[in-house]
Amino acid sequence: MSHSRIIYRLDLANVSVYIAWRSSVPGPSKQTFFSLILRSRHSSIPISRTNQGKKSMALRRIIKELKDLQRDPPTSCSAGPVSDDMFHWQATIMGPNDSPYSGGVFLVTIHFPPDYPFKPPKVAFKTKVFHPNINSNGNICLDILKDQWSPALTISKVLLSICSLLTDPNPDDPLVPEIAHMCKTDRLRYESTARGWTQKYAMG
Amino acid sequence: MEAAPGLCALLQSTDKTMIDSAVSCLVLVSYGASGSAKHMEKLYELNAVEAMMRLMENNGWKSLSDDTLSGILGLLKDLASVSARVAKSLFELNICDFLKQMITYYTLSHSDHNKVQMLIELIYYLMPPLERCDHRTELIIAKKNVIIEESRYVEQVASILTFIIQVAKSAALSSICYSCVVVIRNIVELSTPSSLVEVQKTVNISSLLAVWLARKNRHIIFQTLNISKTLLKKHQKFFFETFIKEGVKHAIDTILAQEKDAKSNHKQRGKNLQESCLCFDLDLDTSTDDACRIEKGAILKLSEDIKKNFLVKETAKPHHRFGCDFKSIKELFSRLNGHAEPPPAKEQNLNRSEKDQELCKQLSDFSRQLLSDELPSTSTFEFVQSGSVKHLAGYLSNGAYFNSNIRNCQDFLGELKEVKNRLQKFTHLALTVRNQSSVKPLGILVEKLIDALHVCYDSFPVILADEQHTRESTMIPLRDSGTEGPVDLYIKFSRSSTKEELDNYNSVLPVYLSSTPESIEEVLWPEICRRTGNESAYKEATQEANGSRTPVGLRNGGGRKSSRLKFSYKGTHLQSSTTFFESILRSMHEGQTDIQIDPSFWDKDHKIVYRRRNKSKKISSQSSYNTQLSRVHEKLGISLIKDPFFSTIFTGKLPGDLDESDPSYNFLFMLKVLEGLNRFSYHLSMDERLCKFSEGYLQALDDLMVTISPIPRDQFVSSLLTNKLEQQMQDSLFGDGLIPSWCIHLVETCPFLLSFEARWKYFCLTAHCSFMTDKNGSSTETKKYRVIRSKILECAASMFNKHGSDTKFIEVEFGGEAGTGRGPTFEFYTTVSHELQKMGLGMWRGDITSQENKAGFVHAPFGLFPQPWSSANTSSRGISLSDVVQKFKLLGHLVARSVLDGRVLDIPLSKAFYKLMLEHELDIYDIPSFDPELGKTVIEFQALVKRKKFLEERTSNLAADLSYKNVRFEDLCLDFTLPGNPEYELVPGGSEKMVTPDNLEEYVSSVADATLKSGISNQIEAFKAGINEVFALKTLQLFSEDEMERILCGEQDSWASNKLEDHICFDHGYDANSPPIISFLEILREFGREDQRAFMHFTTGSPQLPLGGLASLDPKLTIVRKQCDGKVDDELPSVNTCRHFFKLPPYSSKEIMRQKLKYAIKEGLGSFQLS
Repeated sequence: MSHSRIIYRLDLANVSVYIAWRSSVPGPSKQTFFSLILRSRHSSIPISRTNQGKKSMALRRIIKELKDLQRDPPTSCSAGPVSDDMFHWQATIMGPNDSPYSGGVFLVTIHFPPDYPFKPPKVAFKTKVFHPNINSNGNICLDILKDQWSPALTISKVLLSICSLLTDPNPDDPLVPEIAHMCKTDRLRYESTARGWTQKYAMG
Repeated sequence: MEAAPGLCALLQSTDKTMIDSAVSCLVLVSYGASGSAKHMEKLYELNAVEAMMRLMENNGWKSLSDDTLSGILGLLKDLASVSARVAKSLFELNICDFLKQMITYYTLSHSDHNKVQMLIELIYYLMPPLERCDHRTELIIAKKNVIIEESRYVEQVASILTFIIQVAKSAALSSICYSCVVVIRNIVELSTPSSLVEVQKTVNISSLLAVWLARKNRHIIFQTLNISKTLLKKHQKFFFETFIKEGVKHAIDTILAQEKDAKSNHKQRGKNLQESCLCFDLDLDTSTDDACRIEKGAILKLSEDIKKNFLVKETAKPHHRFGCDFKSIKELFSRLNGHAEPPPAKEQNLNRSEKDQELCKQLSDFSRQLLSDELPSTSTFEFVQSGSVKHLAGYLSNGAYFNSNIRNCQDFLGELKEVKNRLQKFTHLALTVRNQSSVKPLGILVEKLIDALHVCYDSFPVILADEQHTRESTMIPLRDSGTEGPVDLYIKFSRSSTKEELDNYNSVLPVYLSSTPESIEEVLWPEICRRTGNESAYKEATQEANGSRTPVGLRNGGGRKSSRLKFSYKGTHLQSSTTFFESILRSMHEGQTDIQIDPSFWDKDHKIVYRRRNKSKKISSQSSYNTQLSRVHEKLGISLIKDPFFSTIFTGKLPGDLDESDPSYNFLFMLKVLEGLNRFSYHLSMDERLCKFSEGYLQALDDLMVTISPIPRDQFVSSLLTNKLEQQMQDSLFGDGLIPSWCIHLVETCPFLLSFEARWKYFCLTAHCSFMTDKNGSSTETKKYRVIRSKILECAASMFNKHGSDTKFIEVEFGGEAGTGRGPTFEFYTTVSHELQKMGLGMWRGDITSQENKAGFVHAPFGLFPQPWSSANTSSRGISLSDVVQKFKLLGHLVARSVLDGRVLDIPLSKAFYKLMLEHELDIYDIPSFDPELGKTVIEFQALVKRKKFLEERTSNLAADLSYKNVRFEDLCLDFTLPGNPEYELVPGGSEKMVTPDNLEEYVSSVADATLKSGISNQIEAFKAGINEVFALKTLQLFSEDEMERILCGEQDSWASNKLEDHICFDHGYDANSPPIISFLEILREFGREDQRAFMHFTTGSPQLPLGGLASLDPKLTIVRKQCDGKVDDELPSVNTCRHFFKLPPYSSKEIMRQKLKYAIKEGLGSFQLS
C-alpha cells in the first residue's frame, strides 16, 4: 500500500474517486493490482461541461457504469475517466495468465459517443500489442464494438471480451494478416514474439 | 457508275469524313442503279462489300456516324437483294455476328426502331424470300442453295433466330413485329428440326406464337400461322406437344371459331379491311397499288388446314400432363380460397397456429407447382388459363378481389391484419430460395406475369401522328410547331336531339389535344345554361378571357366537380377522363393496334353530342377506404398500409380508372401487388419476425434478423410496354398532349413496368417540357448570376429565392474569378452541395460532435438524414431551427434546379430521405437504413413491447418481467430524451423520466416519431416547398428512391476509369498483374451504381464512400487471395470490414467470378441491414 500512486481523480456529485495503481507488488496476488479508493468530499465540482446542469442520458449511463465498476470491480481490469470529461476514459487490462500477454499491463483508451449507449464506445489500445486482431494503431477488431453492439452491453463486458480476445486470438478474421499467418502456422514463434512485446512495452 | 471504283477505294481511307461522304455517294450511285442486278454486281466485284464490312469490324460500327451506318446497311441490303453472291460473301464475312451485336445494341440499350427495322430488312434479304414466287425464282433458288450448301451458314442463320425472336417479342409497332415474323418464318423454313427444338428450349418460340396469334393484326396472324405450320411440318411430335402446352392450339382454335363466326356474319369484316397493309413493308419497289396479299378467307383456310392436318390427328391421345396440372391447380386454389371467408373471431384465436400451418403448406404447394424453375415448368399459357392470377389475387386480398362491393367495414382491423398476414406468408415463400443456384419464386412469377401482359398487346395502342415522322429517326416537329404553337382539334359540340333544357351550343370550338370531357365541361356548362343566342358576343368574351387563340380545356384544369354532362361521339359514350382526341381516334380506328392519324383528321370538325347526366356520380368507394386506412395507419404506425400497393390489395382494385374488363387488368393488378410486396419485403418479413417473437416462436432477439432480400426492380420492367411508350414518345405530338390514356395510367399506377430511361424521357416531356426546349439551341436562354465564394450559401439562397422558378437555365460565375459557363456552374452545384454537408449546420444526423472538428463534413456512412429538432427547443448550440429550415429550403431549390438544368450534385442523401421526398411514409423499420445501431435497438424494443402485450393478453396477470438481453431496463439508464440529443425531450420533463418495461411502448413510438416525423417535419416541409417552387414535386413520383439518386447525383462512376487500381491495394498472393485481379477490376468497372454500392456495403460495411470516393477510404481497399481447401469455384468471396479486406478466391474464369461476386454482395446485403 505504501507505494500506491494516485493516477486518476475525478469528482462526482459529492464523491471523488481516486484510482490508484499499486505498483510493484510482488507475490502471487497479481490480480489485485488495482484498487479504487473512494473518499467522500464536501465541495462539489460540476460534473460535465457538455450539459448545463442537467445530466444527459449518456452521462447518466456512464456514471452508472462507473459506479457498477466500483461496486463490483472485474478481476483483471479497471477503468475510469481521465479527467473531468466523463466521456473520455482510460482503462487498464492485465494480460491473462494463460496467454503470452501474462504479466503485462495494457493501457486502453475509451471514448463514449454522445448517443451512448445506442452507439458503441470507441476503444483502442495505447500500449503496443502483438496480436492478430489488434493493429499498430491499437485498433481492435471486435464485433461487439462494431455491428454487434447493443445497449445491453457495458464497458465492463467490453473489457472482459477484450481480455478473452487476448487469450483466444481469432486469426481467421485478422486485422493484421502477418501476425495471423504466424499464429496459424508457427504458434510457438507467435507466442514468443507476443511475450517479447509484452515484456518490452507492457511491463515498464 | 464510273465513280464507283474510286468511291470503293475511298472506303479504305482512315479519314472519317472521307468515309462518310464516300458512303453517301455510293448510296446515291446504287439508288441510280436501282433494280439493275448487273450494276449492283459490279459494285460487289469492286469489293465494296468487304470494305464496308471492314469498317464495321471490332465494334467499328459504333464509331460510325448515324447516316453512314444507315447508308452501309442500306447498301448491303440492296446488294443482297439482287445477288446471291453477295449474300454468300456476307455470310462468309460473318455478318450474323455483326447483326447480333447490333440488334442487341439497338433494341436493348438504345431502342432505335429505325435501325432495328433496317437490320431486319437486311436479314430478310439475306434469306430467300418465300412469299413471292414471281419473276425472281432463279435468285431465290440461288440464295437457298448458298445457305443450304454450307452447314455453317445454316447454323449462323439459326443462331440469329433467337435474336430476332427477342426483337419481335418486344416490338412496339405492328410493322416491326410483322417484319420480324416474316423473317422468322423464312429462317424456320431453312432450319433443321433439331435446331428448332433447341430454339424452342431457349426462347420458347411456341409461347410467342400463341401471343402473336392472340393479336388483332391479321397480317401477323397469317404469318404466324404459317410459322406454326412449318414447325409442325418439321417436327410434328415435339411441336404438337409444346403447342398444346403453350396454348398455340388453343389460339388456333379461337381464331378458327372467330373466322367462322365472321364468315357467317359479314358485317364485321368491313372493319378489318381498314387495317393498313403490311405486306409490302419489306419490298424495295413499293408499288402500293398491289392488293393486299392476304385474301379474305386466307386465315380461315390456313388455320383449318393446320387443324386438319396436324392437330386433330392425335386427339385420341389424352393430354394427361396438361389436364392433370389444370385440375390440381384449380383444386389447390379452391382449397386456398376456402379460407378466404373470415372466420369468426373466437375460433380464430383457438386454431390460429394450426390454420397458419395449413395455409403455409398450401401456399408452398402452390409455389412448387407453379413457380419452380425445375422442369417441367408450367407454361405461361397454362398459368393464365388456369386462373392462377385471379385466385392468387383473391387469396392475398382475402376475397376482396372477387367482391365488387365495398368490404364490410365492421371488422376493419381484423381484415387488415389478415391481409397483412397473407402478404407476409407469401413474401416469405416467394423470396426464399431453395438452393443457391435456383431463382426466387417471385422472380419466376413476375416473369410469367410480364409474359402474360404481352398477350394483351392490343390494350396499349400506340398512336402516331404521321408515319413519315416516325420513320425518320429524329424528332421533327409536326407542322413546324416552333412558330405556330400546339395543334388544336376542332370539335363541334351540339345538344343531343332529345328533349333538353340545355341550350344548343352548336358551334365549333378549338380545343387542346389534351382536353378531356371533364375539363371542357367547365367551359361549356355556363354557356349552355344561359346562352341567349348571341354567338359573336360569346366568342369575343372567351377570346378575351383565354388569351389570343382560344383552344380550351387543359387536362386536370380546375377542381374536380361532379360531372353534369355526358358526351358521346358517333353514339359511343366517352369516358370523362380520356381526351376527346383519343376517344375519337380510337372509335375511328376500332380494332387496330397502331393508329396512324390521317392528315385530313386535323381539318375536320368532329361532332360531339352532349346531354345532361341523370344522376350525380356517387363518391368513389376507394377514397373513403383510403381515409380509413390512413386513420388505421396513424394507429399502427406501419408505413406499408399507406402505400398505394396496400390499398390496392386491400380493396381489390387498382387505383385510377382502369378498365376492369380489359384482359390486362388482372396482370396489372397482380404485378402492382407483387412490386409492392417486393419493395416492402424487408418491412413485411421484419414485422412477421416480430409477431413470431411476441408469440414465443422465436426465443432470442438475435433471431429477429431478416435474411431474405428482394429481387431487383428491373425484373418488373416490361420490354414491350417500354418500347411502346418509347415509340409513343418519339411521336411529334406527344408533348402537345397526344398522350394516350394507357400511358398516363401506366405511369401513374405501374411505373415499375417501364424502364427508367423511358420514364425519365416521359418526365422530361410531360413535367417540364417547357424547360427542355429543343436541343437545336435556338432558344436556350440562360440567366447569369454572380456569387461570392466565401459566402456561397447566402448567395445561393438569395439567388434561388429570386430566380428559382425561372424558366431559363441558371449559369453561375464566381466573383473575382475569370471563368464562366458550364464549368463554374457545375462547380457551383458541387460546392453548394458540399457546403450543406458541413458540421455545425444542424441539418443532418451525426452532426452532434460539434466541438471536435468544426470544419469537417458530416460523415454519414448510410446516407444523410435530417437531424430531429424539438419543437420546444428552437435553438441549440448557437444554431437556430429557422436557419436549419432555411437550409433545407435551399437544398430543395438546389435539388429541383439541378434536376431541371441537368446539373449534378455531390451529396449522399439517404434512401429514407429520398423516400420522404417522394412522399412515401416511413416507419420504424426504415430506421436501420440510415442508423443501423439505433434501428436495431428500437426494433428489438418494439419486439419486447409486442411480447409483453401478447403475454398480458394471454395470461391476464402481469407476468411479463421484461428484460432486455438479460439486463433490467432500469439498468440501461435510458430516459425520455432522444438518443444522442439530450436536449430533445420526448415528453415534457423527459430527462427525468426513466424508461421502464411499462412505458417502453411509449418510448419506442416517441423515438420513432421524433426521428421520422415530428422531429423533422419542419425541415422536410421546407425542402418540399423549395422543390415545389420550381416544379411540382408530385411529378417526381414516377421514380423510385434509387432512381432519384441517379438523377440527382448522376452516374459519376469514377470506377470506370483507370484510377481504380491506384486506390486499391493487392496483397497476399495477388498483385496488380495477377489474372484474377485483372478480371476482378474489369468486373468492378462494369458494375452499375447499385452494384458498386452493394460491393462497398459488403466490403466496408457502409454503402457510402466518404467524400472523395475510394481514394479517401482509410484503410485502403485491399484485395487478398482467399485460401481455398475445396474446389475454388464453389467458394464465395469474403471480407474483413475492419480492415477493408476483400478476400477473393482465384476463380477459374471471369464469368464465374462475376456470378459469385454478385451473389455474395446481393445476398449478403439483406442481412447487413440489422447485423
